[in-house]
Amino acid sequence: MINITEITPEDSIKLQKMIESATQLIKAAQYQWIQTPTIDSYNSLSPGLGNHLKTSVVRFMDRGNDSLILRPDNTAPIARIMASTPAPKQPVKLFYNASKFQRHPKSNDIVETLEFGFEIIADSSANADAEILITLSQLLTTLGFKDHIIDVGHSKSAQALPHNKREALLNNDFVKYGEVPERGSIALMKDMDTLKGLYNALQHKPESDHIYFNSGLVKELDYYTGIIFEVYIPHCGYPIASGGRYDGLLRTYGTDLPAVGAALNMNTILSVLGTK
Amino acid sequence: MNTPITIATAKGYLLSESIAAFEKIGISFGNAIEESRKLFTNDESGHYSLLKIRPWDVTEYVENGAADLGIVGLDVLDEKKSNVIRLADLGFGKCSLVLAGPENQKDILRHHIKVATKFPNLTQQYFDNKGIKANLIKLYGAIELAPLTGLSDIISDLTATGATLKEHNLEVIDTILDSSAYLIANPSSYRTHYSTIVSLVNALKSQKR
Repeated sequence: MINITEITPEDSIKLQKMIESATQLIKAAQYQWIQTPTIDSYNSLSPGLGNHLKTSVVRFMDRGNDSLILRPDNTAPIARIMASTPAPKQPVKLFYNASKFQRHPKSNDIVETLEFGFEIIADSSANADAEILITLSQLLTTLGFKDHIIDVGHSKSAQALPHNKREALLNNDFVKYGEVPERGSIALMKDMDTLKGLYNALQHKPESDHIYFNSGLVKELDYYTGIIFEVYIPHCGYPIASGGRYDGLLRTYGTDLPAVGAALNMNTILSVLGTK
Repeated sequence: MNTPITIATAKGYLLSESIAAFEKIGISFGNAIEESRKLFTNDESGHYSLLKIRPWDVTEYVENGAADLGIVGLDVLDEKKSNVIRLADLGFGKCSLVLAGPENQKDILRHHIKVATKFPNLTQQYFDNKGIKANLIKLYGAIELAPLTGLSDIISDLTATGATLKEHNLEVIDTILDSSAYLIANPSSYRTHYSTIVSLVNALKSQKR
């Protein structure tokens, strides 16, 4: 089944305006546009996909029996491009506005999701993490979501959990997890080995009012190696944006470079605007 | 706090116990809503608002953010697999989803057995785990009638004491799920009202003991 994402003319106007203002802001912050293939080769892209994406990928055969896929994610093909070009001497800042196609985990329907995202390649510093979060917060404010909440965690804390506790958090089941996970202002990061660098880079920044530490944040994607985050706005039960650091991803395509990025789910954002 | 935190509560047997649990932690909704046709009421402080909702609708209210919190049985939660946060097992409203069939027929389970139920997903999952191909019949009530009238071989239904089953000459074959009332939250409300919700969860958990 295909769950077709059809956008009405009214929504198209809203979408275009959002993309225009987001593009303006992201270009002013020195990000460059990058385009990746819509139809890709499974064998070429699979090294970086991880188990979750491999099972949700939309895959088909062409006449020569090559295994093709629809772009399952924007981050993986960008990582492959950057890994196959000469290593940059300075951090590279990229943005994209493209659909990804995944099978829904429950219904198995093919779902197209329009993403607006941005990434910093070749910078492993906490300052790059902070820059992504600050830019994300500014973007959301520009788009009219003045009361957005960015929950930040670290992939290592989830990976250290036993399998059943990790599953419980993925299912939002705090009864099975055993308690409501600790969550609060960025001050909670201050004494953590993994996040104190981010705390130092964020403190005194006005955007940090939107940023919270959440010890219970886990994500399904296997490629995260550092900070992870999700963005919520009032009255919408699903995150409107998410992202994190994935320092091992480019290595799976041949060049070992760190990377961090965020993506806005434009379909969820449109559905929220529709109810406003 | 400007707008009250809205709690969608399953009407029926969970409602009075929910109101009593809130009363114990100092949130007083009174008993007007239980006895009247009123569908919502505020507590004395005006910080909380209680909605009286059909059990199967509670998750819809919470999932879509029309209510911040909800109180509903684990049976409904697991059957619907909604996108909500499960905050706490409140300990009351205990019951079990069981398979029940005619008395003295414990080994009735076989392929193509006909099962009447209000809980097709949980029941299907049970039979899938056992590797048995069952034919499910979705009903909305009076499940116990199904085997008596020949509509089904057995049923999967909720029972607290087993009295209704016994009255219809049915006995438990196996338990699918032990259920009780759960406090749930909308993922966005959970973040917006985090500290209030955490104190509420802690208070409700400690009065349970």
